[in-house]
Amino acid sequence: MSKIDSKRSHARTVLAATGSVALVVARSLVLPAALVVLWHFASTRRWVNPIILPPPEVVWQTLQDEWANGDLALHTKASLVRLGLGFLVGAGSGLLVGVGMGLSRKVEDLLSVPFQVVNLVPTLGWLPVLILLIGLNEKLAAALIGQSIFIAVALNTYRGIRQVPLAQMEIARVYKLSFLQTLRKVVFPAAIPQIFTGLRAGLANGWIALVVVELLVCSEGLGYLMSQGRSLFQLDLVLVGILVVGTIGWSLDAVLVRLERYFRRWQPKESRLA
Amino acid sequence: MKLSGRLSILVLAVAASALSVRAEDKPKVIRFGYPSVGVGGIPVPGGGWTTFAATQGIFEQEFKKDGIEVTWDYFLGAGPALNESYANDLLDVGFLGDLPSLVGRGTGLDYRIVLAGNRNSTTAISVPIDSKVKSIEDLRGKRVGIFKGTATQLTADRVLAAHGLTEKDLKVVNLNQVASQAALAARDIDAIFTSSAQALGWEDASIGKTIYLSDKDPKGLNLGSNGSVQISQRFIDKYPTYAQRIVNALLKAAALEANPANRDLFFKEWAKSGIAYGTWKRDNVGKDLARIQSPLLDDEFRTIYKGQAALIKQLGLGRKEVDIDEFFDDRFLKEGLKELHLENTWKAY
Repeated sequence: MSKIDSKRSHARTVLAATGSVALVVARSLVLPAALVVLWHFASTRRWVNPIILPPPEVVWQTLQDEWANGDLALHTKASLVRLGLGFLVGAGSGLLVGVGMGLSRKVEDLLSVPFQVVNLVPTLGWLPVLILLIGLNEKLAAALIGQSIFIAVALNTYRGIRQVPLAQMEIARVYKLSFLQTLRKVVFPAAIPQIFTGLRAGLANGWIALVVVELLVCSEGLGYLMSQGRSLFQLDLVLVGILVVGTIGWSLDAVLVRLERYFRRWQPKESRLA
Repeated sequence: MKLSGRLSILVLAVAASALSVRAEDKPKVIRFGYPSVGVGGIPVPGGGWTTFAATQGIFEQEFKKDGIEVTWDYFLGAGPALNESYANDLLDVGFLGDLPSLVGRGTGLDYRIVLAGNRNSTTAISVPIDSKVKSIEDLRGKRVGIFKGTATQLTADRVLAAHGLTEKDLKVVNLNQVASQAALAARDIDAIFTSSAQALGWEDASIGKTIYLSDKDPKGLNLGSNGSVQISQRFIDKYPTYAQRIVNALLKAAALEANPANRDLFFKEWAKSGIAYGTWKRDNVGKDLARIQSPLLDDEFRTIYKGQAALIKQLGLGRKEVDIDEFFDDRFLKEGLKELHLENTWKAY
């Protein structure tokens, strides 16, 4: 009897769990769906000039057309390659510098203040200076994307390492762990959440910078596609660009969240939630 | 009963005409938009009687006595930005190149072409001063600046096609007037499609050299760009007499330009844009301004626009082929030529 009960309650939790996933998905779709409905009526009932805001059906059709003729894939690939390279270089060097600042007082004194100041200047603010220094070319794109990723990753890695509890460091010392062991067993596990915060922020910054810079200097990419749509007064194309940019940005972030979970798999669930 | 019926119709008619007079009223402000700026982005464009009208303040003078305010917007973003302004109902009168006006009309912007502005204006290709690029064929795979969505883009596409290339054979970067100059000076770009006057200006400033002029095409083609004057349909419906006065003021400026004795006057006026007097003079050697900047909506201009409309559809730059006969409204032109006795100033082609 009690066995059946426990089975039943297990089934219930499983049901509740899958039910809640469905519920979460449903809930997160409520607002976008409502917006699409609002958008449809705003456009078809001319609350907003449909020239400026084409209805969602038209945008959907354009999305399919652009996909069918290969343009969308071409521009998406160009953007992703640009972002991927920027992320490798920016996040890689950001991690190194962040670790350096986190572990060494001297490096911290040297870099932390300038970094925090630089961090507070928005990407667009760098643009005029960088255009003059580098010129309107692909190098500008690389520099702007790399820089915006680098700063976020470096600062958060540094903060993460600085937040490792002193007690843990002392235990490491008591156990006479080597420098590398301390890094691997104590510092990184404790700093992982903050490092991932940095990677996610960096990726978001980089993605935003990418679109901005593609609007300006590139001859392919999603930003370029959007600027082309604007030039030819095809606002549906601009909206397709916005949709694709948003969806890809969200997916990339989701990948990082998964990756973070993987790195924290050894932690008890409660602390992971924290 | 019959009489009172007729009377009431009469009363209604009188009331209606009174109402229509009230509707004609007068605008508080007339908003003009120009799709170009001067060197360095200053709000003083050059070239053509359209810019002359702007820099000479002819509308300000024309409407001062009525207490009507005249405003001007000069768009660094050129035609595409001007169209956006139209879409938001921020403009009444606009000067536009063929591509943006046809794209705008095709999308549903409610304006009509009331005057031709320019036809077959010479388009040039500029390269950095020490570039090895010598011909259009050399542009394959190169970074080339084309101001997307402007008349220059359409001309560039036609010139490229005539030489066996498309935009896809180049790395095209969308650069506005000011960014083009910066990119050329910094050698960030391999070539730029622009107006002949601008190309000569860059030669004079020693930052560029001209490798191509559309009126000296090696294949003998003469593929230039075109432009026109638009007035919004709403303004035409609401203030037809004011639309007429706008057209008349423009015709006066165009007639002034059509007189060869006034060439220097115009070159000097255009020099306010930052492109020097001498450059304008050089740019226009052998060019008959009355011919290339005729305001007539004649068969030639109509044919050009019909061809461009079909090409825009074919190249995928616009989705609908614009009906030119519906887009052109030559009532004001005809009336203006009569009122100002300018019937013989320009030859219709």
